[in-house]
Amino acid sequence: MSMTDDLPEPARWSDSPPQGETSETAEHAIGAALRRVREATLPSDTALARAARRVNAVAAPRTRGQLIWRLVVAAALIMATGGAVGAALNRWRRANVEAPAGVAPGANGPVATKRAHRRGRHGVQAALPSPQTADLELPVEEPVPEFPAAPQPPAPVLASPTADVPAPASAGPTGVSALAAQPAQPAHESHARPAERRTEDAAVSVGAELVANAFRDLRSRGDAAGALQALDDYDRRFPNGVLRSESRVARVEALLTLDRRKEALRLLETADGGGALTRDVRVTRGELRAESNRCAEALRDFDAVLAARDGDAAGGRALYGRAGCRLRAGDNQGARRDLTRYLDVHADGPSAEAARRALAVLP
Amino acid sequence: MREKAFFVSRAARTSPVTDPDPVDSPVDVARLYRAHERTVMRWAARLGGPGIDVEDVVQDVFLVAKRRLRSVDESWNIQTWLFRTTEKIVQTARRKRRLRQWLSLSREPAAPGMGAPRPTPAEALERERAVEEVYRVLDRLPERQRRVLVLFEIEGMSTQEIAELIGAHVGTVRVWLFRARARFLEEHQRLFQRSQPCR
Repeated sequence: MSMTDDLPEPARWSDSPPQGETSETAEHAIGAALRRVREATLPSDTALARAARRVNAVAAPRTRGQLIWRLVVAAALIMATGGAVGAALNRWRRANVEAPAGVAPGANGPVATKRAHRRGRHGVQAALPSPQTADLELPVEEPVPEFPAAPQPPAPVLASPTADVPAPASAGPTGVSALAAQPAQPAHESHARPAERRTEDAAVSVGAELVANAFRDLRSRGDAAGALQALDDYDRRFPNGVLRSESRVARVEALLTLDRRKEALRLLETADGGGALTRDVRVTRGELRAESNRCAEALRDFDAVLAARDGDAAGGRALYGRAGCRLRAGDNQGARRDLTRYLDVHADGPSAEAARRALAVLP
Repeated sequence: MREKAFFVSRAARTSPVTDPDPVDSPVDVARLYRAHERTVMRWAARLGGPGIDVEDVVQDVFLVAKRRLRSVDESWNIQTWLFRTTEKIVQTARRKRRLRQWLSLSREPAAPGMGAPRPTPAEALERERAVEEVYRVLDRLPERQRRVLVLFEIEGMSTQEIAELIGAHVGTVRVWLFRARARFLEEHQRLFQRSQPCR
């Protein structure tokens, strides 16, 4: 027992004599106020009756079904919140994680490739073409002349396919921007663990940006050297990246722009992955081969392009290129057929005038 | 489990059940309500002050009792349980009221119909003003001191009864009361600039 237990009960302020009977102090005033509070807070019968009605009205206990329903709603809310937070973190991580130098070859698989292209189109200024449909999806920035602007003398031009091979500009956006279709990655390699997949996604994102920068340098700014620099950076960091085919096409385009045609041809020689080249790339390779006096190989490329159709730009270029190769081989009739067909289908084509002059001098 | 631990607190074990109408086991909430409705409503009004919906508090207290009280042990002090429950619900209501005041940047008037019938409009006004003043000061006190002062001065309980009700030592209650009164005076003077000498 402490000392305070023995002390007398302190006097209440609210028991003080009413104000006016003794000298007025703060305690008296407070006591009077406390007495008023005491009176004011006495429950009235009407208030008690109202409270009783309310208690009786809501006295029914919660059923098990209500509790289960509440639990389900709470669980759904928690899961939705968790999912949203997880997605936000994922997006943040993708945007911020530095990509490692190089991604394991083939580790991305078709899923990652699809992601890369989706991201490329939407996230990286829509600059990356899709391998399979690049010739359909990529916007044509300007009509691509297939031949040099200056008209060439008919017979010598056709006699010498070298002179007829498109100039660097002719192999510009449309010609080379269509990508070589790469064989699909093995399906089993796409079963990467989530953490690995995130790292790969981040790497693909960085890589896509580098390739997109290269295309932008090349097409919007005409800066082929800058594009090559960006592509060198990409190849150094991602020697086996999923965008290597896009990188190669961009590099060919840049090399042609810089008139480094032999390098461009060397690069295209290695691009025949399973023979799944697009028509534009293949006709460009044929033209470069013809330019290098490799008409037999060039004819294979032209034939392959023309086997499908000859009404598009690639077909026109293939007809004109094959005519040149046939002239060099002494096949004048074959050359005449190609040139006539060319004029039939592409009467206003970029090589129409040269074709007419060649036909005029052909025996 | 929490209630059980609370019920077998030291004060509850050492003091007789103060409920004049002990509740049999299992708990009959209707009977509990009839026995304690007036007390709970008084506590709610006095602890909460103006702006508290007293009927709401009473309803919540007995709903909690219905949900949680499955049986009553001999050692339990049902009045202590009711007081603690009332106090917690009142605290929650006060927090809500403060938040509403802060959001609306306005002061709510005293709760309508909080007390007994008012004889005249002048007296009612005077009483309302007095109530508001007292609770403005009380709201500046720490929760423990506020509770003890309300129970002692307004509820009219002795320090021994307060000690039993809240499960504290009587000496502790007196210390809290002493500090509460000193603080109340100080805050009252600060708020209302009263210059009367204190005894």
